[in-house]
Amino acid sequence: MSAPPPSPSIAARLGKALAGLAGLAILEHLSRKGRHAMSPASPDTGAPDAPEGRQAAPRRHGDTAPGQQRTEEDVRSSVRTYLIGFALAALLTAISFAVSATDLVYAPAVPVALIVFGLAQVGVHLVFFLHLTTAPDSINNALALAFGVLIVLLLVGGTLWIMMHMNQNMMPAGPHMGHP
Amino acid sequence: MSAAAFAAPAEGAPPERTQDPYRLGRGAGGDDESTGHGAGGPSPKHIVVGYGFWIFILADFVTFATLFAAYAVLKDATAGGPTGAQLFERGHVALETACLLMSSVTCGLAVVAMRVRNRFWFQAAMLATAALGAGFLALEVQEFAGLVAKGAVPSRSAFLSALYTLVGCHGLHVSVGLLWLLTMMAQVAAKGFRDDVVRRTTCWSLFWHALDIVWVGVFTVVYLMGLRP
Repeated sequence: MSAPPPSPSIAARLGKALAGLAGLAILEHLSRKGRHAMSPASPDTGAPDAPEGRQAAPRRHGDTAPGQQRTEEDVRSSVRTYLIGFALAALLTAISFAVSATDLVYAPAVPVALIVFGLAQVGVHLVFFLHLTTAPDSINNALALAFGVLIVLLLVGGTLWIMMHMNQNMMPAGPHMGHP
Repeated sequence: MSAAAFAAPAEGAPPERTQDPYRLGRGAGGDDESTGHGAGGPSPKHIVVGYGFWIFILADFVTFATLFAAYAVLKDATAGGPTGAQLFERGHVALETACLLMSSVTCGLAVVAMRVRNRFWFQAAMLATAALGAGFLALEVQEFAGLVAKGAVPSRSAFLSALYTLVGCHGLHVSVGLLWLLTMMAQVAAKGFRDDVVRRTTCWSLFWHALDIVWVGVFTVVYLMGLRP
């Protein structure tokens, strides 16, 4: 991440920025710790007369917004997640290109191999870039995605199925109809 | 309905937390007793907005699915014109893919910088994203110009119509995403990390990652499969 900086002034600036990032991360971490420490008391008592501190403290919710990384992650591990995702996606892309350009894979199986690697890469994007999980706090997002995938499969699969049938029914193989 | 009604302690009953350890917006209590704001209430705005935009993105995936289906049906209908294997260049597509993939990573880094409210790294990562996105668009325009120069215009064959529709629709999305990106850079510069600006930027990052996911489908189905003889 941090290439050797070319000049001292830029180095100073980089260092300052990094220190700022680290400091903010620590601050965030500490404030989160504080919230956790006091939270067990407030939500579970259910007392109508809430203590004064409760109004100021943000309400805790179990849901995670789509694309939102868990707030427990510090900056370093967040960045690492993206870099791991990048490495995996780049690897899968390279494999896809290699499979299509060479004879590594038995030729008739190449389209299937390409689809498999493509789907794997979509999975990498969903997990490492969009932070989609099946944990309870993001189950709404996962279910919405599952419904989207269902529609996409119905659309693409159904279209191909119907159109292939039509091709078979309307263009019987014959010497006079070989090519349009 | 008051939160106290739910929290009425019964003998031997476990505390509410163990029944709903993740507290999915329920039982968290609230200061407002009115409908939808009392016990738990709706999720905070940044979650509702993000979820709504996620639904839009899924709908966008469905739109692209129709274009993919049309392309898959029409890809062999070349009407005696050029085929994909004659038109596509693998190196060019690899370059486009690299641009978009790296822009997706820098987009993620921008969101991390936004989370810790660091303006410098946010703007730097957004600028990198914009440069890579613009690079992708430039490569795509160059490719289309090359196709037109070879006479492979959309009206030449059904295959080319479907190709321009699918790839062009993706390119249009990237253009819109690029405009949105620059808008968010300007808004953060002018207004800082205000709640609404942060929400918009989060939605934009979802949009940008989604474009990369669609591109995975495009380079797999259109280019890599099209390049096979």
